[in-house]
Amino acid sequence: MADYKKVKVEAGPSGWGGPLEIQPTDERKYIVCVTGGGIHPVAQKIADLTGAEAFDGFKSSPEGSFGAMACAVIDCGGTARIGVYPMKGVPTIDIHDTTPAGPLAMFIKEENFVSGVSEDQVSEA
Amino acid sequence: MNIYQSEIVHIGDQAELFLNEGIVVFFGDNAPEELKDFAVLHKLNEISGEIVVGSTIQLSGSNLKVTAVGHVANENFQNLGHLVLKLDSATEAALPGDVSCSYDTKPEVKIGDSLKILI
Repeated sequence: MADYKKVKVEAGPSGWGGPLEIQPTDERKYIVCVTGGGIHPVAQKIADLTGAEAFDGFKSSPEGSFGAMACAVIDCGGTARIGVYPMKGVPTIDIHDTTPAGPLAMFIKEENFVSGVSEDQVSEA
Repeated sequence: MNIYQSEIVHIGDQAELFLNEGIVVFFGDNAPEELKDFAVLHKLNEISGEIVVGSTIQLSGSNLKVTAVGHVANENFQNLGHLVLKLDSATEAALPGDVSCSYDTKPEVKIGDSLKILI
């Protein structure tokens, strides 16, 4: 059984939501990065601090899908990904400054979503 | 000039949630499984320019005129084939990922339809 550490992720200066505490478990062990262009530095830092694996969500899906995600790091411009992961119960970190919007806005809460995040907003909890 | 040409290869079961609000959420056909349910997928081809105000998007036989482009819209499109079209004729993008458009007829998107972007 792996020993994962907890991290805290806060909203950036112009961001919204959070702070979130990300605690990977044996079941939810992937820091899934859905930003294109490989693993974003925010996802890498969360992976490094927690000891969990950063996973490029654009190359493949983790076994177990949403249920295997400790969190999702996205670069959503505000409509789609912003809501899909919160709706499926995955804590969601947007690197852009977004606030709840779109048809899935009702699923986006301060408890499951944080935006405007850069590496500076990720720290050990 | 034609900067992008492709065809629609998949329409997710939940894409209607967005379509009903006049929003077409595109991803390339390399999109993760988790997003396919909500998206309209196009066969990912080479993109040879940036979408700007005044560009024309031909989708399913409709002509859409771009009225606003959010500041991350082109980055999303180039990295992920991801495009959020809003048929709201807005002259300022409400969200950073938006591409707002006016239209002649409302597109009824079906698999096999073509998607073309001209600047």
